[in-house]
Amino acid sequence: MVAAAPLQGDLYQRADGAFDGWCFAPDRPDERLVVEVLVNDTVAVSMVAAMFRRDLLLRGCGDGYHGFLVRLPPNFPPAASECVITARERRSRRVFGRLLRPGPPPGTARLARLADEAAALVAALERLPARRGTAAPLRTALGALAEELGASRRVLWLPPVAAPRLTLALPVEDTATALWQIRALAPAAAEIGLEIVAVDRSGAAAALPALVRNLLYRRAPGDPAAVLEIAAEAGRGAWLALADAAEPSAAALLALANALPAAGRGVFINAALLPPAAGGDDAATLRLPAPLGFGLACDRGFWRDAGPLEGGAARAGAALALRAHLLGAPLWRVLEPVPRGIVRP
Amino acid sequence: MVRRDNALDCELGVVRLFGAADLGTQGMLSGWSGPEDGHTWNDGVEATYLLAVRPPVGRTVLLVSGEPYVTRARPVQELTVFGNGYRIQMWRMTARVETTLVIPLEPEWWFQRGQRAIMRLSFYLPNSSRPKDIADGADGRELGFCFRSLCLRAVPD
Repeated sequence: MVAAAPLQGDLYQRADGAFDGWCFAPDRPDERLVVEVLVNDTVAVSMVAAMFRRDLLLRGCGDGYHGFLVRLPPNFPPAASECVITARERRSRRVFGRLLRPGPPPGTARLARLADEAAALVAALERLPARRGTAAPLRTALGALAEELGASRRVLWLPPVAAPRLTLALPVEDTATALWQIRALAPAAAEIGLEIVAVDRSGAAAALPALVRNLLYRRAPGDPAAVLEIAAEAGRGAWLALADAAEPSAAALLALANALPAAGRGVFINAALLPPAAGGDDAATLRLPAPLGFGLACDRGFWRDAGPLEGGAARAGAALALRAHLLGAPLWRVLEPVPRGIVRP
Repeated sequence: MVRRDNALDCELGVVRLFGAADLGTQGMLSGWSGPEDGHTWNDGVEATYLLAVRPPVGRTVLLVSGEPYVTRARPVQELTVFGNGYRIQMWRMTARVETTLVIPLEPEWWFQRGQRAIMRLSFYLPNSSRPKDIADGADGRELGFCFRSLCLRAVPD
């Protein structure tokens, strides 16, 4: 019996509806494999996986040129239906990625829109002095309806952001904790142009993409620095931030977002991370004492110039600080507790 | 004389990427600069590319995606594609954005050579210019279009 040649790869859905992924044969590291993307078992697109991905290079997948990006033809599949997207290597027909592309939300979206329209009508009524008495009970009823609507939603919807300002790399250990963290961050997402890249390091939160819509989900082992690399690869934000794995909070992210300059570059580092704990135990320094929401952040241009990072958040933070000094980029530390001031060291 | 061994043997429906990692210099006869990371520029006013497929060839469409070299000093790029001498289509591009050229190829336009059908494509870019001549850097190549991917697809009858 001949053992099947090893094959590695993965498939993800991006916020803009396209699919990206990678495919690599460890025993043939120089070969560019042909990938087929199937929609409900029908081949929709096939392409050579030869795009460069920095995270693959860092992970030791050959020269890193094994990525692919697929946009499905506009009418394939019908937009109104749920479908299964499968990625397989063409020659061996081995499937390495499969995901469910959800259809449009069921009735709740329409109900929510109707509730919004009704709320606007009530607001108009309230502006008429003669109708104020009628408007008040209507508003109460509408509030109850909205509450019911929210409770009936099983799926958490993050607002889709066309041009995200900030990409947040969220290291994920399990589904329940990740859901709690994302719920905490969701209220601020639209306001600050946030996109969240959940990086599942153990594979224990595989259900996450089905429970949270418009979330970028990646499954990859690695230290926090690698998580930031993966998020930078997957996300489109002008700024990159690494979430504090312990307690992200919308308020802290808002504080960070307010401090980010509209243009230009810089590095933000959680003061608690510097200097690293004696003995170099990154795990100890990862659990920040206060809900800061992020460990470190920098602009995408600086991240590109600074080169690869490795290790825990503390080590990556220290490396970023040093490189900011060497590259002449502004460096800020964020002080605790919230509301935290941003001061130059 | 056409160097037969350099023709790109196309598989219908497979997206191929320009640049060093996938296509390299495969199919490129003349008028191309060296393959770079994920793309290849033309170099000069005419870039010639050689495609080969296994007959029988039906109706196909070639999708070429890339980005025109458009700057303030060179606001328009015109691109005309000829296939085995047939003038196929012309594009006038005024924005430096990702652009997909849809090039229909009729079956009778292909040359039969042994076991292969050959299509010699000419990308004519009269507005190609050297960045260094228009104060847009030090690049001395004559650029018009940055080629990123190509895909030959069968068109259902």
